Amino acid sequence: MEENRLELIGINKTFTAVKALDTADFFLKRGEVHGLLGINGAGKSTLIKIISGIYSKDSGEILMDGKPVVIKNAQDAIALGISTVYQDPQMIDSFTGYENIYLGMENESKSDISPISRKKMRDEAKKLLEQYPLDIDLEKPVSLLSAIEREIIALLRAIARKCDILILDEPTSILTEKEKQILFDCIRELKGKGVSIIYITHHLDEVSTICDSYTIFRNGKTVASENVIGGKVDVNHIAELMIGEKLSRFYPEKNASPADEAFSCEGISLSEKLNDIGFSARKGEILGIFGLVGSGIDELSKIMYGAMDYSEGSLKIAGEFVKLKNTESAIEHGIYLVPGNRKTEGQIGNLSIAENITLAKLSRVLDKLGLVKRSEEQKLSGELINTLSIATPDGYKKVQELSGGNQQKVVIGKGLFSQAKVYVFCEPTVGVDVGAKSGIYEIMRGLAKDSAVIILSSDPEEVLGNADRIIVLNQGRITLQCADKETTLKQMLVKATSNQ
Amino acid sequence: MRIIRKDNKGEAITIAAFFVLFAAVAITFQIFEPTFLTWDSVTTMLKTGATTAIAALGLTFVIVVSHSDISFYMTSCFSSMFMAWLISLKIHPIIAVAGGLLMGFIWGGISGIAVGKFKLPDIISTIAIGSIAFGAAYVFSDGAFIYEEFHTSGIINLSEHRFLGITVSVWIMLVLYIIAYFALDRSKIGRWFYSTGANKRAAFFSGVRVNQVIIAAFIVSGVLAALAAIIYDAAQGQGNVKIGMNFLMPCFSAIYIGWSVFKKPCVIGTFFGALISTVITTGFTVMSIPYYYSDLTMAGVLILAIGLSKMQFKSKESDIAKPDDKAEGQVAQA
Repeated sequence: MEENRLELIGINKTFTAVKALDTADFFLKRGEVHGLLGINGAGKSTLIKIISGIYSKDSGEILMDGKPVVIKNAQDAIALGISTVYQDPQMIDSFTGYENIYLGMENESKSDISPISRKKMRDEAKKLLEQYPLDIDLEKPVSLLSAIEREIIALLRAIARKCDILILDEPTSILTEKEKQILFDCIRELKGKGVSIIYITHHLDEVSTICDSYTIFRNGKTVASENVIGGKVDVNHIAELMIGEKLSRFYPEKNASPADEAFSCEGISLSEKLNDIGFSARKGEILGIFGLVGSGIDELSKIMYGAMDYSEGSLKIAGEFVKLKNTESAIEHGIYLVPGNRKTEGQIGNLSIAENITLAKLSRVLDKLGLVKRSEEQKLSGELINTLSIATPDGYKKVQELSGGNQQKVVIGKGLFSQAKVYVFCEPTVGVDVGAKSGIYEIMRGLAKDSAVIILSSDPEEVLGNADRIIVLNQGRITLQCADKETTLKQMLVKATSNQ
Repeated sequence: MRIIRKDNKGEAITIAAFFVLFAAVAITFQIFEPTFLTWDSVTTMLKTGATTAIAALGLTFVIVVSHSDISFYMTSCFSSMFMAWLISLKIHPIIAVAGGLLMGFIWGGISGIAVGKFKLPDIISTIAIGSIAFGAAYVFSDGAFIYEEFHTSGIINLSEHRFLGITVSVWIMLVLYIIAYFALDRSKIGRWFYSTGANKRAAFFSGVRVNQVIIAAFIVSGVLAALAAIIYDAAQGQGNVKIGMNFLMPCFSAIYIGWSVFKKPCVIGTFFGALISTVITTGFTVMSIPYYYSDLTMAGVLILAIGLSKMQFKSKESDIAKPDDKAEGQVAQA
C-alpha cells in the first residue's frame, strides 16, 4: 500500500451560517500529481486555504505521514514543507531571478545585517535550475521575463524552501500552449524527486496530460477521488460529477416570445482574449453566455457596453450599425450593463440608493434650470425600489449599508431607470445569497418581456436555468451555440473546459 | 414628503452646530479684544476672508473628485502677475482680469490632463506643475512688484468698491458660492463630480465621463485661485509675485473643517470652514499675537479636521465590512 503524504479527514468550515466545506476528505500520495476539480464555489479554494494556513478549519483532522499536524498560519504551512504557487506569482519585479528565489532567506543562520553573499546565492540558484529543462537568465530582473519563466522561478522558490507539497492554483491560465508543455516537463521533474503536487484546474484536458489522480468537490463535499488510468479520463463522467443532480426548481418559468432582433455583433475580436465572436439577441428572450473565468465573458460584456475597445468586428443595435464611443453613448443607445464586479464597477456605495438609481439618466429628473428635482427623484426611484423589492425604508439610505442582493438590485435599478432596451448582466449573482438570487432571476425574466436580456456567467446552472438560448465561450471562442432544450449542463461544461 | 423633511433636518442641525462653533470662536476673541466684533472689523474680516474663500471653493471641486491639487496657490501667482503685467501695458482692466483667469484655466487644464488623462499621481505632479508656474511668474518683472497703472486703471475697484456697504470682492465671493452650491449639490454635473469621487469605475459604468470631470475640477480650481489672487492684488494695489503663497493651508483647512462637520467635502462646508479660519487668523492679528502662533493654530485645526473627517469615513468602512463578510461566505457556498 502506498503511503499518504497528506491526509485531510472530515474537514468542516463554515462562513457565517454558510457551509463552505462539509466533512470533506482529501488524500495526497507521495510523489503524485493530484488534480483538484470542481465548479466555482465547490470548496476547492477553501480547502487549499486551510492546507496553506490562510483559513483555520472548524473541525476535522490533518495528518502528514500519518501523524496529526496543526496548521495555524502560513508560517506553519511553510515549516511543514507546504508551498502554494498562484496563477500570476507575486514577485519583486526589479529584483533578479536568484534574488527572488532566495528572498527572505538570504542569510540563513546569520544575523540580519551581515552582508549577503551574492555569489553563493547565484551559484545555488544555478544548481537548482540545472535540474529543470529550461534555461532562464537568473541575472535579469524578473519584470523582463516571460510568464512561464516567472512561473518556474516561483516553483524554484518553493523548492529552495525545501517544500515537498506543492499547490499549483490554475498554473496554466496565462500560459501559451508551448509554455504549458514546459511547465508540464518541470512538474514531471518535480514528481520524480518525490514532491507531491496538488493541481487545481478548470481545464479537464490537462487532467489526463499531467495528473495521476483527481478529487472532485461539489457543494463543499468530496464526491469522488479517482485515478487516471492509461493517461485517459472520461471528461463527460467528470463533468457529471462536478455538477451533480438535475436543476432545482429555482428558476422562473421560461415564457419567451422572441420578437425583433435588439442587439447583434459580428466578428468581434480582441487580441488574444476574443476571437470572431458573433451572435444576436432578440427582444422577449434571455440569451445566456457561459464561460469560465478568463474565457473572455468579462471583456465581451464591456465591449457590448462601450467600456472597452476591440480590434475587429461590428455591433448592431435594433438592426443599425453603431459605434459605441463610451458608456454614455451605450446608455443613449439603450444598452445597460450590470458589471461583473459589483463593488468596484457597479455601485457607488457612499451615495444614496436614489442617487445611484438616477445616475445613468439624470436628464429624467432635471427641471428647466438643469437642477435635480429631488422630490421627483425620490418618487421615481421609490417606484423602482418597490418594483425590485429592495429592502430599505427609503431612497436616502446609502447603498453600502444594504446586503449584497439588494445592492445588486440597485445596480439593476439604475439600468431600469435609464430605460434600456438591452440588458447585459455579467456574473449577476456573485456575492448574492440564495434567497436574493431567485429574486434577481425573476427580475431578469420580467425584463425579458419588453427588452432583450443577455446573461454572461461562469455558473453553468445559472445560464441553463435562465436562458432561452445558450452560447458557450472557451478561451475567447464560441464552442457551442444552441437552444436551451438542446443542451445539458454536462455538454456545456465539456464545451467550456476542453479543447476536443 | 416626510422623507425629504428628514433629510433637510439633518443638514439644518449640522449648520446650527457650525454656528455654535463659530460663535464660540468669535466670542472667545471678543472677550480678549472688545473691538473684535464691530461693523468695521467684521467687514474687513469679510474682505480678507473673501480671497481665501474663493480659492478654497475652487479647490473643493478637486477634493470632491477625490484628488488633491497642490498647484493652485502657485499657479495663481502666475495668473495674477499676468493680469498685473497687462494692466501695466494699459490694457483695459476687464480684459486684463479675463487674461489672468484664462491663465488660471490653462494651468488648471494642464494639471487636470496630467491627472485625469495621463493618470499621473496628483500630489507630486501638481507640485511640479505649480512650481513651473511659480518660476514662470517671475518673467513679467523679474519678481519685482508691478505698480504701473494700478491706481489709474480702476482695477482697485475689484476689491475696494462698496455696494450696500460691502466690498465688491465679498459680493463676488457670495455669488460664486451660490452658483457653486447649485452646481455641485443640485445639478447633474454635481452628481457627476460626487460619483466620480466616490467610485470612479462605477461612475464610468454609469455613463459618467470621469476623465473630463477630473479635468474640469482642476480647471475650476485653477481659475478660482487666479481670481482670488487677482482680487488680492487689487486690494494691495500692486502685482505681487508671491501673492498666492499664503493660500495653501487656509484653503485646505477651510475644506477639511467643512468636511469634518458636514461629513463630506461640500460648498456650504467650505464656506463655513473659510469663515472660521478667517476669524481665527484675524483674531490673532487684532490681538497682536505673532503670526507664527496663528500658523501654528491653523495647522493644528487642519490636522484635527482631517482626523475628524477621516474618522467618519473609517467608521463607515467598518460598517460595510459586515455585510461583505457575509457575501464572501455566500460566494463560497454558491
